[in-house]
Amino acid sequence: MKTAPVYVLALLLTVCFTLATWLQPLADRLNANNGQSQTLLNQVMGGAEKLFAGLFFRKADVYFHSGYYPSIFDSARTNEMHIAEEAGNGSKLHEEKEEGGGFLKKPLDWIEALGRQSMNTVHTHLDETGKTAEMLPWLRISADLDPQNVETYTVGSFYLTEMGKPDDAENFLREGLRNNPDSCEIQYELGRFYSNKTNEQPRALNLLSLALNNWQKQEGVKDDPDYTLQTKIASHLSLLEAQRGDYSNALVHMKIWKAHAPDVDGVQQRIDELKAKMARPAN
Amino acid sequence: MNNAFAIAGVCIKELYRRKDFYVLFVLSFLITVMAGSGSFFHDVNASRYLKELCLLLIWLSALVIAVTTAARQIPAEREQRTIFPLLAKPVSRWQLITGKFLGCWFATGIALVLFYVLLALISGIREHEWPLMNYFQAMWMQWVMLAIVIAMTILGSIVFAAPSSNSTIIIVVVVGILFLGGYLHQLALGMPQPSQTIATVIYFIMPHLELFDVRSLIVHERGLVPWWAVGEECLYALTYSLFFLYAAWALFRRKALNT
Repeated sequence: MKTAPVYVLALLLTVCFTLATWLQPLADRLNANNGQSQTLLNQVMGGAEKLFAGLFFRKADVYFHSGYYPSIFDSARTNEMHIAEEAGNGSKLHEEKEEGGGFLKKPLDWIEALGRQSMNTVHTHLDETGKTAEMLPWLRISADLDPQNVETYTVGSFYLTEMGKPDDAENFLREGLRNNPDSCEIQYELGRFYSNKTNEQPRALNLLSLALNNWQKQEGVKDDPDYTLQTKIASHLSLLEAQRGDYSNALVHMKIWKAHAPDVDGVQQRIDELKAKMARPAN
Repeated sequence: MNNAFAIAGVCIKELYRRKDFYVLFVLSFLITVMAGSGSFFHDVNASRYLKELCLLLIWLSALVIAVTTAARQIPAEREQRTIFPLLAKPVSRWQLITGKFLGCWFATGIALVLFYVLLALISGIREHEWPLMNYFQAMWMQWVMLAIVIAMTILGSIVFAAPSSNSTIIIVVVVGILFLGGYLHQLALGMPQPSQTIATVIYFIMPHLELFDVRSLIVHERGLVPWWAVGEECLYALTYSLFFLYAAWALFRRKALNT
């Protein structure tokens, strides 16, 4: 039986067209069920999104240190990103680590010594040179690829605020909250952000209360909870409440703050002051 | 040497007759321009990511151009049987190897100049700074590194049967050296014997192509590599290139051409 090639081609085209009309709506439905918008980047990266998001977040950290950064083979690597340490609470942890010497040890041989000439061996931070904006593209791409990575939003908003871009910082945190509605870290950051605005204090209070509740639900049930975050939330919340005259709630939250505060005496002093205020008859 | 330069001239002409370079150049241009057209958090000052992307594309493109051009030189001459009239000119086998090497190296150099002009233009327009000496140094170092790669590929084209297998092997080796080369000694120290000795010997024998990679200095605006170090690295590259070319000639002079 002989069939003209043109008929075979026509048949194959018809099959292709039929399959396309059947598969396209199916693909649309699947994407809609995922609940995430499929950007070009999402489509290109596929399942490797989270891996690349982590790499790009690390790239932002590399940029923050102007290329002075340990490779995966350098043992002095830390688990937490330096930009995250900086963004956390302005602690001097990073500087303390550096005092013990950087990751670059004495070269093992002449080849390594020669290679040092082609790499950055001076440790500087982007914010010292006023070029913090250079790491923003990597944070943006990282957030696009892995919207569930809370750290990207908190770190990004910290540096955006530092750069004098409060609107972008707020939008970025809001985007993070949309993608992670139960994240106490983002709720805390957003609450802290609003607490600095005089007319947004009620909103800040709501967010910080929500953050504390979510912390209890998520961390409170763990064997080794992250008390640092709880302390930070409680401290901000109690200070805001005290400012608004809600002394009883402020006292409750100050006690939570005191439980794991590094400066217990300082918090106790605040508690005593608050109790004194409460004991004073109202005018 | 005139014969070698005449052969080199033919290789250069081949570069601009083939489409490889144009495709890679246009692709690099389009990807960089697309990446540069976006703004992140309403900020138009960020330019380092763009330089990083452009330099990555330059490194990939130059590597592909150098390896694919060098890999097909001698096999193509043999396949088309043009090697017989070429060697009857008279052109010695050493001149043929040298000519092919120089041709591929110069052709890659021309491509690199165009790629770096693109980089300078794109980053210059974006950040209004023109660190031309830094770009020149980066281009020079990359070109010198590619001399080793081209010499390796020419040696591979004598050893391996087909240009495709040769290209694949060389690209895998080059990428492996670029990623791991600098850390092999460090890794070797943590290995048990005899792996430690083997890895250490490999570390000292292999050409350290990563020494020529100054992209990080360009991206993070860290200034120039000291010129004495550039001189040392050029000497290093010359030694390895001569070694691979000599090995290629040593194998090629005994090789039957009609098989």
